[in-house]
Amino acid sequence: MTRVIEADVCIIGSGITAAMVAEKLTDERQCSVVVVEAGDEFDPLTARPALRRRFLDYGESPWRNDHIAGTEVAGQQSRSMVVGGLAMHWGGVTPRWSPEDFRIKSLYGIHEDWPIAYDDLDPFYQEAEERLGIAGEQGPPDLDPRGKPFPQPALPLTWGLSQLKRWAADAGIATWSQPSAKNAVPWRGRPACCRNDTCFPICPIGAKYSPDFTWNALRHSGRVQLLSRTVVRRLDAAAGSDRIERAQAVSRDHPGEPIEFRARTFVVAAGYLWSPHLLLLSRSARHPNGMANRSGLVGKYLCGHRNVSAYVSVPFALYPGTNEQHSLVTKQFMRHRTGGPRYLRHDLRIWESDVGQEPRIRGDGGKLLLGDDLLADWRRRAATGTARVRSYYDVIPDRSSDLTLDGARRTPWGDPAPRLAWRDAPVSKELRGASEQHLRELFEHLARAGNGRVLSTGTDSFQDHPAGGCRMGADPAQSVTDSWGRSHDHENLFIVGAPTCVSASSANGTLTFAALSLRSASAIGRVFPARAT
Amino acid sequence: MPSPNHPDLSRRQLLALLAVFSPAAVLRRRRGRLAAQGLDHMTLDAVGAAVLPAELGVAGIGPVVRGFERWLAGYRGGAELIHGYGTADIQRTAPSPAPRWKAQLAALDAHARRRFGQPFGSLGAADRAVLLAPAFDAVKTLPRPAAAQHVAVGLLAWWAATPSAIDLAYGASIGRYNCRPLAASPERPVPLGGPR
Repeated sequence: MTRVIEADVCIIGSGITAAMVAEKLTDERQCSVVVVEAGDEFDPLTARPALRRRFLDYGESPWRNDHIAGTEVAGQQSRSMVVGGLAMHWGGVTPRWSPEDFRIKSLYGIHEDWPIAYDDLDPFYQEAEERLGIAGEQGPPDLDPRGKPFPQPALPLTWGLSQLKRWAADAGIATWSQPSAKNAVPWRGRPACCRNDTCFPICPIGAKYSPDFTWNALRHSGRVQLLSRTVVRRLDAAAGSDRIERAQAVSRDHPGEPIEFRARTFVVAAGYLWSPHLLLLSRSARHPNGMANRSGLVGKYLCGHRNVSAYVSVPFALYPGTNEQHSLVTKQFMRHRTGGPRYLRHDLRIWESDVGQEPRIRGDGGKLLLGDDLLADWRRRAATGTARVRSYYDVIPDRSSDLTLDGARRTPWGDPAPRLAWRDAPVSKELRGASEQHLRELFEHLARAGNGRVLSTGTDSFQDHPAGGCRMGADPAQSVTDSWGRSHDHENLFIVGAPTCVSASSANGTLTFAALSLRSASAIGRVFPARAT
Repeated sequence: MPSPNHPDLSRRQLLALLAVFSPAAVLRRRRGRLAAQGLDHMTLDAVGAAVLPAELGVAGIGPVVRGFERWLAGYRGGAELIHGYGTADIQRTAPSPAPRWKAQLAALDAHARRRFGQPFGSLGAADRAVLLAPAFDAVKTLPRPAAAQHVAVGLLAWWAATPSAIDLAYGASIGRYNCRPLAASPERPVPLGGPR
């Protein structure tokens, strides 16, 4: 017998964007919210110190049951299917994107403009920063504009990062403290960071934001109903209508008892992978390409950014491990400049590193080093430091950078699995070599200006902070949603966060995904009465 | 009757609890763990003295070796490793190295008795080094401790990854992975032994 659960709003997925939507809706509107998550519950905060200890000692994953066997897919995939999603073990790095990111067609003749400008998103960036608790330092206002100050003071630079800030300045690069979802001061019941150095994958004290804090508060106050271990398999429209009527789901604990969610508004908040996948699975006679897909663009234009990195020796001591995951950042290169490749925009981050100073068992001539010899060699090499530098650069996606249904692989529930393929647009393909060479030359410049040398460089083909697959736009023929995340095809269906991105900038994306979700929530909430304050 | 100091515990429960945490009980459990691993305590101490910095002194080397033993006792083969971004692969820890390392310690001791007529733990530093040298023949870099083929390499690798070893190398109280006040992070880490 089918179990029916009704609510005003049904949110599918429970990651950071779902948490933002649920919190804002229930803060501001009178509406009932049900959240459906395929994965398991997270371990409570009290369990995390011990789980972190095992991670440090043995490399064990501190997130037990954070993925479901059988949900691995072909293509680049970050595994996380759990209440709270991938942000349960994110690094908590939260730069805003740049005004240029939203206008690259107008400014540079590349790819597409977004249907919104940076200024449209600024208040929602601010709101996300307040809800998450972002500690940040204002960069130069022309590069890093913002309507209001950061809600928290910046995480202080370590002694070593202060040295590296001067080092970068010698090369003509202005840097500042990386904005982070790590408390510089106690915030909303969570303590200040005390530099445990394991932000990724696990903060043992809750100083780093993760969505469990939002879900715990919302569930404790009875403001949302959250069903974990429940897999939504398809969305159905009402007969003869484009209005979404129900979400069909299955409980992982009672697979023989289907569950049906009925709601006035449906919100797909399942990230770049499972959001388009669900829409593609929801095929019917009236919607033969799946839901929200009259444009044929569901699953298309998957985007992200690649990176080039280097380790650079510096002629002064550093102390890696003082606040290991904190860094310097600059937005100086997020505005395309002449003199390099035809189009290149990138960020730059700088960390203290111990690469080149690790204890070693063989000396330069291959001599075995044990005991005091090993320690003496280690001390000698630790007397000067190493900077790790890394730049994400903007990769323009091709239409064929896509998620499709895999004919050869099934999910544990019998549906076609998603298949991912990342493909550059011709402009990015053409410029890739020159872009990466330009970044290596920038690192050489940094090294020379600081009397150091590049120890090694690396290029990562992995497209980080994946997004897209349901891109927003003004033209229903060229996009899946409008600028609010509302499906062009279904007036009561919203897709929020990462999938709606038109492009992926050249900096970490989670804060932008959260801000976009809050902007969507402001539109979702309009049909519900305001909540008395 | 509840104990006055532990109002939720009866006297019997409290006594049982104290018995569990008594030094003798702790020692019994530790012996039990070591017996389960079967590592030869004396030989392992001698290996520690051979491969760890003498600068640690006897008082420093002993706790390092005990820490290594505790680490090994807590090792679980087949546990899921942290998975990175961008890969669907889930990897697991290898089987415990304890049986291999136990056999190596036994072989070291047997070798010492054959060649020098004494247990490995009674040899001088030079003789220990001779017997240990083959363990390092194929080792180019320090591996993760559990991946070390030989127990001597595992012990050295384990020590080198500890926050106290890092502090020793940098000559400063960095305290990596320890909870430290955020407000102190702009300060240069204090040199070991106090401010200079």
